[in-house]
Amino acid sequence: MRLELGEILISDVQFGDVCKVENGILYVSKEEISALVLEDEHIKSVEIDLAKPGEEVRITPVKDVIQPRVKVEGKGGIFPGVISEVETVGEGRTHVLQGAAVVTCGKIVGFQEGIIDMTGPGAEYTPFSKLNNVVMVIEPVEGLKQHDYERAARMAGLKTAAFLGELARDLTPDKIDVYETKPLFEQANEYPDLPKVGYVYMLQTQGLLHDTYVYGVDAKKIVPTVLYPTEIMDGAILSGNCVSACDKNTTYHHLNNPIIKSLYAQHGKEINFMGVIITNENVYLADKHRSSNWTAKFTKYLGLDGAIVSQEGFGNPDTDLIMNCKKIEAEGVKTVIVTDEYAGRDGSSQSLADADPAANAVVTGGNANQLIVLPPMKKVIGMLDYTDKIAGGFAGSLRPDGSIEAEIQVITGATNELGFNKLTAQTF
Amino acid sequence: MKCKVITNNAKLLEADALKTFDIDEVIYMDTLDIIEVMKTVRNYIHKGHKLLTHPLSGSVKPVETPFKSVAISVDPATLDMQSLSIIGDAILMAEKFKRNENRALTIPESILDDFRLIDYDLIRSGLEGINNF
Repeated sequence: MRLELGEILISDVQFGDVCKVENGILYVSKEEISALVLEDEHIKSVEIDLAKPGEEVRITPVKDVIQPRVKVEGKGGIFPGVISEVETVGEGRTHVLQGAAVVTCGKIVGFQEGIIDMTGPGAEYTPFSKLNNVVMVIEPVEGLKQHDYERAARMAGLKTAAFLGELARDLTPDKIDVYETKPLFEQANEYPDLPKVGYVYMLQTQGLLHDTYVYGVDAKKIVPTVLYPTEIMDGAILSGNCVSACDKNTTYHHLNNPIIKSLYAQHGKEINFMGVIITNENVYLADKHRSSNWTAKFTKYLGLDGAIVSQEGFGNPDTDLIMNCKKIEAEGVKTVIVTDEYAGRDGSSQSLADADPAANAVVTGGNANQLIVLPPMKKVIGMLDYTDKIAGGFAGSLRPDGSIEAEIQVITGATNELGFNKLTAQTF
Repeated sequence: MKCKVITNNAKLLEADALKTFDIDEVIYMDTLDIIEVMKTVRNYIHKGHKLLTHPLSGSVKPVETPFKSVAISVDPATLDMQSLSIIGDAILMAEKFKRNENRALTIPESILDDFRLIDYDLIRSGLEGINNF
């Protein structure tokens, strides 16, 4: 599969009478977006706002961040199985509004979190402070159940991102990158002297606000399978989870997975990047055994010499991570695992809820228990009234002056386990 | 497969909460201390019950949420070392979070209900797997 990813660079976002892109500026019509979002009978109102890098703006509680994309050549459309028909994507050409994002907010449950600060110390911890964000605060109709509210908010974000992505269809990209993975034997033969490396992509799959979707399927219900990496760039994997926002993959993270991009960067140089094995992180222990057996089986079946394994979340997924690592290593395939840590506020406690000697190559996205003080911002998009109840917050987190003392857990993407952040640790 | 559920989440006691699942027994504990629930699970594991769902389910950290529901096997057999290891690590982790939480967490009832809902949904996803066959 060969995908051309054409980036249209967006340097600013402004309100306008109609949605359009001109000279690198994304113009957003409140009326057009509202009409689109309010097609859903579950949504009472939507407040649309803009947040740009450097502004004194705090966005919270963030549900998802989505990059506008459109498929311009090749089979299928963006976000297959959800927004577009269930067609296998990942080849042809896709256009991206690079530098822009759709951010959804909503108070689905009382302890929700996810903070994006556009300036100040908090901005350093989230990649989304660098983007021109179209923020939607979504209010449900009276009496709507949490599951339905979550689904409505998720769909509103995806529909808006697809709608804005459509603006890029006929534009000439500022930059085009080409990614290609060939069918298995062909790919193995292309670089016979290089080590064959695969990517085991663990997806959060535990329940409400803890789910991920693959081609529209709830990933709790899949068994591990193999994807071409480019399918993920076309939106084959979508986020439905946001609790403990520091180490949850938003849809933006999936679309721009830096492990996939790094593996492609070394493809044909140091390694032969063979493809992606997706797997889940279910609550039922027998599911964990089955899924980790299958990921290990696939690494061997694909003839891999090495595998990168990335986790999503904490606790329950630590067990999946270690099972994957142990079983893959037992097949004779070397692993590097990517995780984050809950090592206590002083960083001295055990980081993960599970461990094994086979996990001897570990990359960390940082310690989620680290404390931070986020100064007050001039403007809050969304609401702050739940801040004491967020993961990483505590009684007194929200101070009278509007500043917040909390663990970096509260910041969207702060300890991302795909490495889409600046934190890590090194041994000397 | 039948199972027992150990929980401090009253939502599981509601009439239709678990009606689609084949549950042998709901062992309800009237406490907001999640570590007590985990220690009860550990006691059952020592008696030979097997852990069926992960005690650190969900991304809301132990202690940050006061609710936990865990499924175990119905009939005791020989001690399952993996179950014991998982529950032991979970208790250590929960105690660590308790140490971190040095300010009393006062949670209004409406938010407790949201925590109950999330815990219920997490155990339900486990029970769906357990009840497949």
